[in-house]
Amino acid sequence: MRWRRARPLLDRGLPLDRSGFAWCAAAACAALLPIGLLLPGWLGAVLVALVLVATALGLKRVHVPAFLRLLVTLLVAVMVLYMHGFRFGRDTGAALLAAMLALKLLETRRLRDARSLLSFGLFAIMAAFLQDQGPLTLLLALIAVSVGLAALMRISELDAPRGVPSSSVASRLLQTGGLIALSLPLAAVAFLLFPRLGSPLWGVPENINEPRTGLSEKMSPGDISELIVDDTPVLRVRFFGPAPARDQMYWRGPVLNDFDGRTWTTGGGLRGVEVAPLRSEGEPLRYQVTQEPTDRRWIMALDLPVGVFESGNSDPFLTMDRMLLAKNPLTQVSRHELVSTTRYVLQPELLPAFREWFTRTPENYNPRTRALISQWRAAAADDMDVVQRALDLFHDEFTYTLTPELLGRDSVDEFMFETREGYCEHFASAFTVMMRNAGIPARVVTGYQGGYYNPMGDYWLVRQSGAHAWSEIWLSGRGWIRIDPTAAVAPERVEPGADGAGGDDNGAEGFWRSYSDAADWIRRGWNDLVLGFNAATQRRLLSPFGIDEASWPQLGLALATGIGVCLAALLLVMLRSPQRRQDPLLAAWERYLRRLAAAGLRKRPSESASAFATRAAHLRPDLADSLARLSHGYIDQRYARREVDESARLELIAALRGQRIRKRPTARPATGATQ
Amino acid sequence: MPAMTESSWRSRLLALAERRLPALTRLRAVEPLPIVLHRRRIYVLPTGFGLFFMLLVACMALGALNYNNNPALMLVFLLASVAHTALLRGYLNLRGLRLLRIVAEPVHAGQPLQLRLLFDSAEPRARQALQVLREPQQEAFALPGVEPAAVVIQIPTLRRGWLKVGRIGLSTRHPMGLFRIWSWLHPEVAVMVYPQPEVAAPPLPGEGLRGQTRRDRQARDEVHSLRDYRVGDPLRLMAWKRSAQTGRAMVREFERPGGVDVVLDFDALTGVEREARIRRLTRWLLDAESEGLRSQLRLPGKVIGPDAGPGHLGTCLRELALLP
Repeated sequence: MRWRRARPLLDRGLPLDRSGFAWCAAAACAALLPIGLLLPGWLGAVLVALVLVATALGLKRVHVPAFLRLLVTLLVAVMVLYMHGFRFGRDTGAALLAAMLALKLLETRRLRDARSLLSFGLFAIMAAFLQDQGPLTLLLALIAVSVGLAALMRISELDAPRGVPSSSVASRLLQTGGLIALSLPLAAVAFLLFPRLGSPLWGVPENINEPRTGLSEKMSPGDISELIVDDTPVLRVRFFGPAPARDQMYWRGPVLNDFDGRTWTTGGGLRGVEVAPLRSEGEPLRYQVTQEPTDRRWIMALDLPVGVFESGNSDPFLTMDRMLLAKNPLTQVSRHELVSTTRYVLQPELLPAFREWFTRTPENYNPRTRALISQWRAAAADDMDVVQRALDLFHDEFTYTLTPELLGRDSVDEFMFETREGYCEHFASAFTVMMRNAGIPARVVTGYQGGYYNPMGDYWLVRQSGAHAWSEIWLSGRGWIRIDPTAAVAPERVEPGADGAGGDDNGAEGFWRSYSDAADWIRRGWNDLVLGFNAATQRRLLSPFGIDEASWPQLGLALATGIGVCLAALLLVMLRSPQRRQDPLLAAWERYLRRLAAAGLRKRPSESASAFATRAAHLRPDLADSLARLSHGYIDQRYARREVDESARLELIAALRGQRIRKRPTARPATGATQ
Repeated sequence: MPAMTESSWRSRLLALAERRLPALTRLRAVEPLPIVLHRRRIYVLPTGFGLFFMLLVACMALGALNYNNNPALMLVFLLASVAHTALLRGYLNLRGLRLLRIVAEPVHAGQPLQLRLLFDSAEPRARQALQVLREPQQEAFALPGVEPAAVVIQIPTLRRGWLKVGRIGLSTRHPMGLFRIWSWLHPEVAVMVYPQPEVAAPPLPGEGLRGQTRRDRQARDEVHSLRDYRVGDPLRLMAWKRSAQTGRAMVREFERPGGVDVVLDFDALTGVEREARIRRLTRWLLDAESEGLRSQLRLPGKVIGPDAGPGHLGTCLRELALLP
């Protein structure tokens, strides 16, 4: 095309000016923030240093030689890969992306580079969303998008350098804000109505590192000497009907069946075995669980889950030991409607093979406990006797602490006979080992206990600090029974009322408590409305219009209509509002005229300013002076064909604005009608 | 079959479009001023960066949909929507733009011509980052308010006579460089290009008499009156004393006697090629004017003057320029 010849190599050739680079650097920093905060600490520090150096070099317009850039890039890439054990996961990708974004600043010297940098930055924001969808990430992302778009607008001025009146940083940001605000309705309509995929086309790549705290499929009591109380939310539960008592709120997570002497694991041997039969004896409880992302497959269900009512597209299933597992790791906030029962008979018949399985402990570990139990067993009348003796022992001679001593090889023996202090894991592990030694089938169940009721949103909040472990034993005829040995030692850990009102609300009171209630309620609303929005919720979206389960064509039609309405409205708004500031002098003059009109002196459309001033002066002689002065000044400033003196102009504007008009003349009565 | 290069395909396509779809290309139709840009004649295509941006957003949308990641999906839709709003803003940046006038001071062929294009807004709206292209020069300008703005474009002149302004491209990438929005203007305007003056031309005819002529004239011409200085008056006519006294720049005005200082006859220049004659006459006219001589130009079938002054010079140069 002809334009080409006029301007060869349009984008590549145009160098970036200093302020353009500064904008790009700011946008890159803003885009790095949400993703950088999720990176491991020292990688984040390296990136910060990199960005600072690159920015300084760019502002001084230093050209970095290509081989040096390549070297640094390789170095950083190798470093990132090393940190992730040379395996490629979602977090590796995010870290690499962040590193490349920082490095790209080193070579951003031209318009074209700047544009790819900024596009890259927008992509990095998206990558951050794959890792975290919390409110902080969202806020940072919004800032990053605004700065990125403002930078795009700034550098696109280089296309026509003389065609743009210069403007300040604030006005640029304001302009971008306006652009975003105008775009929001269309984006919202598209977000709500754009058809979602019912099931993903490909799976979410998993993270290599495990940044998220939470339950694990392993438990080694005695390996951790200090438990950090972590108040991040884990679950939010809403019961459709009466909630169970708080001390009955056991949220079932991974069930640990195998013990190698030190470590409990879920044990792969039970995969594929039929779900244990369950006879529910109480009313089934229906409730909705909103679970924060864990990167794991467990769905926390109230002990004991009966079934799944609805669960988006995570396709959960029950295992033999009644864990609820999703098909894929839960990398996002997920919502599940479940049914549970608190009174039940689980697996009244246990096959001999399973009996053997659930009483197995390694021979050469914990000999003293083994010896103690065989004494008890000999003295006991039945299984319940042994159970009671164990619980009594815990109650009488053990203490609960979050900072126990580390334990050695025979961790159960050391705990039972030496340290005698620990937290739930120690008690659950020791108790289960004792039961197994006594020939009673037993297993450890981990999960969460309790919950804090949020009256504002009528839901229960379970925090990370509620993580718990307990035991299940199997008794002939009664099936599996939950025994919480920790409750025997520290009942306040389980029962409400011991510390503050809710047990795990950290004794918050008064204003602070209602504030935190409100904050969590808002967070939950965000989870429900935005994060939990999926194909199923979308199909129900059109129910106010009489369509209960919208099909894809119906959604498409709604989308087209919505977009059409938005576009029409947008065009109208943009056509109506000229992007031009009114001349301040004209604005001041019109304000003055309005004030005169309020006093009954209305300027006719046909009248010129001077004619009006003369007529008005005749009607209101008390105003004659100011009328003549201001109208002459106005005419002079607005219509004179000479250079306008800026200070005189400002003076006149101030005078016009400051002029007050009395409704009635003070001295003389009004003489004429005021039309 | 010989391989077609890209540019030849392009020019063939363009030629086809111009032949078949004049309303679309607007390249051929000449229109009287003023020309207002309305929606039917504003075209939009994404730039290279715009295409890249769309691809990026599409990839992000696919990922966000696949992972059912709602914040990411919001980001995607927001970006797409912003791109669309930017497109509208760019379109409105051109819409309602009006080319009011094109003015140019005549120059001699070979000198660059300063084409002043005067634009204003038919719809009140600030307009930024507008680019105007008249081969081979491109210039950027802005229209921050309702007041008209002028943009000056230099175009080379090659031949004497009327120079048609031709097609003018008007484009913008405002506000984000994602789209190029453009239109073509083909105003029915021609500007005058005077003939090129000859370099190293022989002196004015009747050079030998000139010293005397001047003295004669100074003796003969009576100062008729004094008047205010006007742009273009030769410095020689300044009445310095009177100017100093009155504080206004005054010039002497002579009575116009019927005399002629030089006669420049086209047909008398025998033995010189036609264009060369025109160039020489041009040079002589300029010389005569700079020396304040009264000149008479005799062209085939036309006699101009005798007279002096910028008006006379203009008329003569124009006649020369328009000689067939």
